[in-house]
Amino acid sequence: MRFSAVTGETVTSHFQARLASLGFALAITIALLALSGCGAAETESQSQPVETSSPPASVRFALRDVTVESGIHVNCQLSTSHNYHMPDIMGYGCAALDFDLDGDVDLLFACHEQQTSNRTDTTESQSSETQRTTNPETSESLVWPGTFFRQAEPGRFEKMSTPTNENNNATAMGIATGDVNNDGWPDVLITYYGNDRLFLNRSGKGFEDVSEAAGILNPRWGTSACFVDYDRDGWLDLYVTNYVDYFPQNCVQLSGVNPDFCGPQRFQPSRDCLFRNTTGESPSRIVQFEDVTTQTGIGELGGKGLGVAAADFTGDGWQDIYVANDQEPNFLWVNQRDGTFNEEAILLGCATDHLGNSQASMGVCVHDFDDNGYLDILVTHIDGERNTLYLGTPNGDFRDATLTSPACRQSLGQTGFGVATTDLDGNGTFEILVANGRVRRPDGIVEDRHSFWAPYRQSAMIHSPDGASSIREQSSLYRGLIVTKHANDDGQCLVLTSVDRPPVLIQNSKLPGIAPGLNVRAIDSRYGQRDALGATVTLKTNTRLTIRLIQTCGSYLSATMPNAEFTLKPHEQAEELIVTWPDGQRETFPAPTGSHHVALERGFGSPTQ
Amino acid sequence: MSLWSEALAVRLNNLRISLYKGRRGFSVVGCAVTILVSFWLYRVIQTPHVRPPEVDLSEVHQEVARGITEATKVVYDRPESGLAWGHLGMTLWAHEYANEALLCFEQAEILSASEVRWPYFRGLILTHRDRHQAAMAFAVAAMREPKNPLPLFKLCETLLEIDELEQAREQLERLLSHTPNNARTWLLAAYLADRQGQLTEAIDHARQALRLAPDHVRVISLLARLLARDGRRDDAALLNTRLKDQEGLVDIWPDPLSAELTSFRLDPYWNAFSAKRLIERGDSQLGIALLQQLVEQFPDEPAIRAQLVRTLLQRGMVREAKACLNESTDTSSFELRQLRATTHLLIEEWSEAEKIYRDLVMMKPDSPSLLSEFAFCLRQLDRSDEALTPAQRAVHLAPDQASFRVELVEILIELNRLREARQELIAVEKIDATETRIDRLRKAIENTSTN
Repeated sequence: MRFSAVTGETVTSHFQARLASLGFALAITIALLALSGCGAAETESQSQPVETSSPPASVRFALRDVTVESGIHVNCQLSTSHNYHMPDIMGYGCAALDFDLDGDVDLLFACHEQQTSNRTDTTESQSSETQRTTNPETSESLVWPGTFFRQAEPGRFEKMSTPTNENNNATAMGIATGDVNNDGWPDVLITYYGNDRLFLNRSGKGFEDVSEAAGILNPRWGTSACFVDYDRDGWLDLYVTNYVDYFPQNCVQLSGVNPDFCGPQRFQPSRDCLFRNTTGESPSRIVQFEDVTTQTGIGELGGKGLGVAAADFTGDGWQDIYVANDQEPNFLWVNQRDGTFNEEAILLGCATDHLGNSQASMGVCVHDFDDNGYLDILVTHIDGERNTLYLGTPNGDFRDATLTSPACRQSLGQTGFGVATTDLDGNGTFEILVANGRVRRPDGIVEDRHSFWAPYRQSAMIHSPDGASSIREQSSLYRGLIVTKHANDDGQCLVLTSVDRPPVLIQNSKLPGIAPGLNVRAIDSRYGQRDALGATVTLKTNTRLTIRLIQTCGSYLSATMPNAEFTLKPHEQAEELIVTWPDGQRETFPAPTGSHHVALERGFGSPTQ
Repeated sequence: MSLWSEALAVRLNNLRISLYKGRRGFSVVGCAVTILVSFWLYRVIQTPHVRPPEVDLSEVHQEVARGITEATKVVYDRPESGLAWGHLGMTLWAHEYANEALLCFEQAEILSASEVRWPYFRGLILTHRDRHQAAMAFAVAAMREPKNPLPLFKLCETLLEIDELEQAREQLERLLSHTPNNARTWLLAAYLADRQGQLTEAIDHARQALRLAPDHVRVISLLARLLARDGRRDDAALLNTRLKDQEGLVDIWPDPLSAELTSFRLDPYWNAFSAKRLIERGDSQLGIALLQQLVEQFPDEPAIRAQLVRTLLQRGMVREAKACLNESTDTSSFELRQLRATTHLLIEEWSEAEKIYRDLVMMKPDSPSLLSEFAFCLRQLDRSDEALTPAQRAVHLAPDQASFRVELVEILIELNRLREARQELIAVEKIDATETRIDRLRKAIENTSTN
């Protein structure tokens, strides 16, 4: 009776309650199981990614870590984070570009090796962050942005920048690549938690930091960035996503529970920046940008931007800009064709999930996932939220297809950042690659200074129709992810950056008998033979139309080569390639025979309506 | 014979008596055994198979540790009480121990057969982990309180999330019969119709939701999206503009069941954070009241006092801020000292401010904001020559901050170094053309130059 006296409940009622509760729960459970078709449907608990290094048996590709043999050695990993400095957990990006136009891909990492011992407050000072060299031919003071590797010979990289002893407090975040002065050489922008830096490519001999002179002034926390010709004047403009107005002293740690990194909800959203390229307006052609954030309408709304992609999403021949915002609705800045933008993500169905929930959006991948000839958007999210797939429709809007995408359904337990897609096994179906890594420890796990990052680690995943597998055995706090071609042309190369480990290069060797894919560049001969960023290439086959975007920006904080990758399904015949140039003009080119690398140059195709 | 018979009768009688007595004894023993077995069975059934979760409390705030320890002790004292388990679960969950909380809610759910909160909370935790399991938990909650719409809302939403449209429709019908005048019901109906490709019905339902909740972000968003898809771009654009303005909009649905959770949050920093959120959302009075309560409760937590002072200063309540600072005896907190200096500045106690700033600048020589404020203070004390160096250093450290350059311009004008002042003013215009002091400074330069 002691128990009854305490609770005021009788023993009988306890028994009855217990039995009733059990029976009730059981009945509901059985009923729901039956109704939901549990036996057939894949539940989320079943679909948690299995951490395995070996891909499914039906997959015909072989991934191999070639970091060491390639000569890539980057010492940017953090052993811990002092005071849970928020930029530490966000990581840094990587880029693939052919900076010396020798046909080989060079690599750039948005970090400075001296940062490892000193990643602290950056708002108050930012000294030069680059290794300076002098070009004997021109006497220019050349620099190497970030940690730069030139591919000296196929598969072998040579580090161009070296760690410096300069006291550098800036935290580099993201990279954008594009030829801003139409001289044919790709230039580089690095965003910082601090002022962003623009580096002009000096004929493949090095770079010149022209940030101040060019008018690039963004003291906010820049993350991903994108070069896009939004006004169709032939000069690449620059969009920089800014994250939050973060000041370390404002980040009150919850000393009541286990201290951890602050989330973005503690800070005000930061407005993104749009810089218009005005280089073409001066006879001297000195690179100049004008901050047009306010007059274009971009400054109207603040988000917590982490990822960005630019394309003509609405199909009107003008470039639009999609921004993945962390815990805020995403933006789709629709080009109004008069130098301004209107934010229409909600109207076009790509702002939130299908129930109107704002999600923690990080990385972006633009691709034609359903092979219907319209660009789709895949956005990665924090654990507890699935990655979201917005499928493009002929109406110029999007439908949330997350529930029908196995890759998205499998992602509930993962915190995704970098995201890319490629056809690893050349079967005509693209795999989705996601760089995962938590931003907070799982519930109840306390800080361990001896293995600080261990609770945050997750696997980088490959999602294919056969299921999910991990890209490599080692889990980490993966952040940046790009796919580029490998030196031997027989497969792809995946580049992954992470917070707690050095970046890695993973080579994909397709197994014998796999047909190589088709790699397409779109060159605009009117603008210094530069890649036509923002163009799309549509492959017409005997069975389908599928579209690819020519852009370098995407994923998370990263930039890749501006190539379109196509592969054919069994018994499929390529018929023609249709290029829609960034100004909406279209040309048709015959499908190449023999070569699997093709450059389509503007003016050499047949004009198409 | 008779003797033998008699003897036999006596023996039989004795045997009967002894049997009777033995049976009585046997009955007593049997009863005792039965009671003991019953009691043992009762204890076995009543004693939870799951012990209260153990949490490492060595690093957590003392208030949190105390709260969790006390709630755990109640469970040990009353292991059959669903309420005790539920309260422990809420205490744990409020402090982000979701795994442990889940275990407690499971126990609470078993022990309290009619309580809706435990399966509901279990569902909320599971929503981020396994939505099928979450749906089952919400279904249990919905069965326990069939007329409470909250579990039904969550069940319906979760069923939509896992693509169980037919089941979602069934639950929606229940909602429509019980709660037809709730915007959330119609919003769910609109989502469902949209998912089933019934655009016209979806728009009708969303309009109905808008009538009931004209300021709800989700309702406006959905209707805007649906109208855009239906080709009614102008109507959609109007709603989109409304969303951008954000004036008076709300983005959450009331949830009385979960609201109780906040009272289980014990650490002062969390509550201080809640206060900040309240202030950001425009409820300054409530936010400040919460902070004042926290300062009273935790007088030795400098960060909370600093937050209160900062909030008061931001709202022009300088006197209250000063009083709050005077109540503190803390001399080690840099933040409180900085706020003291700012408060002195605001009430024009220049000398007091100057003393504190001098110390602060020594401690943080690379802080441009401190240097600039120090320079401002010196200028107010007519010591512009001394102010020049910290002002220049502030600009050097943060060249993109227009306000630091403005202070330097003021000092340069006072020192009659007009050419440099002009140059600095040009830089200010480049950085921030909207800086309101530019015209005044330009005139000041012109006047000084004329004189």
